Amino acid sequence: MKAVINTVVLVLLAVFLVGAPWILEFFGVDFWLDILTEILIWSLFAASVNLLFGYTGLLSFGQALFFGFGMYGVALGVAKLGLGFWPALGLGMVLSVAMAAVTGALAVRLTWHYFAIITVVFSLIFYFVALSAKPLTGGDDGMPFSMPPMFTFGETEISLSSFLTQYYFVLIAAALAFYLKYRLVKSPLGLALIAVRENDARAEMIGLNVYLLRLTSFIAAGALAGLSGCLFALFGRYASASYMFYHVSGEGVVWMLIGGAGTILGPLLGTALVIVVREELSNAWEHYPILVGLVVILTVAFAPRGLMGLWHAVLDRLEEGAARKPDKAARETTAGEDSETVDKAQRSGAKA
Amino acid sequence: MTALLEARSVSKHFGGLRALDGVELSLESGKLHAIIGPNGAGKTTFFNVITGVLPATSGKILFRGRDITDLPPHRISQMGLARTLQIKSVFDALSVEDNIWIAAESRRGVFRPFAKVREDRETADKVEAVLEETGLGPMREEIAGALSYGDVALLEIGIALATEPSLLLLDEPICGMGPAETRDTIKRIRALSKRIDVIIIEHDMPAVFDLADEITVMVQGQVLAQGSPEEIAANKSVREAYLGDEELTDA
Repeated sequence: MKAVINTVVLVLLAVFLVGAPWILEFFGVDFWLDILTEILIWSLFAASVNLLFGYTGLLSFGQALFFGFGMYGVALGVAKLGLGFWPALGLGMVLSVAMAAVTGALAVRLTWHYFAIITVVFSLIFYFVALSAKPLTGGDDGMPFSMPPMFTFGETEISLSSFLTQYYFVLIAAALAFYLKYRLVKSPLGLALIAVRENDARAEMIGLNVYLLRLTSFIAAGALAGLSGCLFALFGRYASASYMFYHVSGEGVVWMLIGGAGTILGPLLGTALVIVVREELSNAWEHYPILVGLVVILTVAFAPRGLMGLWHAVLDRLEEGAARKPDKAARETTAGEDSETVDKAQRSGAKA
Repeated sequence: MTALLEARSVSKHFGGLRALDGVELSLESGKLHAIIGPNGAGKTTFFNVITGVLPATSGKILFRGRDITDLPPHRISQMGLARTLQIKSVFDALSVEDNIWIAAESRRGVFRPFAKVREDRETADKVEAVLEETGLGPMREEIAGALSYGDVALLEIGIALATEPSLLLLDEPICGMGPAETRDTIKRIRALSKRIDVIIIEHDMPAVFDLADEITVMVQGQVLAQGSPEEIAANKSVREAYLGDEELTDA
């Protein structure tokens, strides 16, 4: 039953995402398409934090660095180097991945708070570099650029200046990235990363090169953050040093925690929830981040696997309830058995 | 013939503490070896230095004639030297089966991001064989973190076996087990030693004298004596330093 419900929900999600331009128009809220685009872009950023923390056990507060490099790769490529759409996108990806390889080679020698600190430090260094290199980067005023076309067929140009094209381009990129991450997590490499998360000393003793595994995860996470930054640059048609500040990294951590660390779709769920809350509340109540903060505290305290973890727990409960119903004797459940059910549900939530 | 494992004046110092103080040892292949000694004799430190978990302060370690002194743990594991830990340590959030799987996959190389876990028939057979050999089969779905202490100890051995070692170091494998589990595990270890080389650290003297073909006694970071169980039981300095009289009557 659990598998059926999950499949139905996934199909509904896919239908909604593919049909969103019409669905939103039907309800007269087509301006939400822009917000949906933004959610998809930022969900890749949350997915980047998740790959490191949720699957490898490394908490990074510096993913904004790679977001910023992707962003500036695209912006500088178009504005300063006169590159077309695809080469600029490629430049953004190459720069963010190269940066992840260089900083990762140093950072993954450390773990836990030392790792968190060094990622903050790296991102701060380059934040200040970008801020002071104003002629090149525009500093925190940002650097706008005009959108080059994606494809040109004779007279007709296809570019992201159409909201519809932009939405589908981002959707395809995000879907592809989430699919690749799913494949990675379910591969021997993904299982090895989880082994490193669970017990790095033991992982090393069974022949896994823990350093190389952490570096691989760091670079893959850098690519995800970089893609997110590239897309955001194209979406906003500008790059700004302010997106390299650690505040941005922290938001990625928040989205991931709310959605569910170590789950595939958790980052999307968490990002969507926080951005929707922001859109709905920020005009009416400027202190809405208090609400977000409260949700984070509750999540960390009571649902370590976030909303996705809760979802799996609820499904497991339903399934066990259904399995139990025919057997009337099972009604005499003791409290002990009950807590065991919850316990098991939480654990299988952690597994998913 | 090259020795299975050779230690040439191996020392490990922690500040002023000489945990290992010039260990000289040569162990032959084909025998079940036991290392015994009082607490703090350096037995576990010796295992840690052999497996690369701790770097030796000085000296050399040869595994089947190859110098492994400065290799990192994952390289030593890849050469076919596996171990279990005294303080049990498995992958808590993973199922018993996944614990074995990851150890088995590590032998094929895990840098295959587009392959699927559990796809490979050969590895699957290997995992089944380990589940069979350790008797963990009925618990395959259980989450490792929820196992009883004795079962975690078995899983430790299972993980080590899944890396296809030719030499297995067991650090107090029956510590914390009940009498029935102990008997069962001893039987399994004896069966294992017919297939691969085994070195065991154990405090349970009846078990050691029952299992071992050769015993090495360590005291204060040095090798005090080495020999057959009979020779060790009769050794005067071993009696004085470690065994005492009443324990030998058990043996």
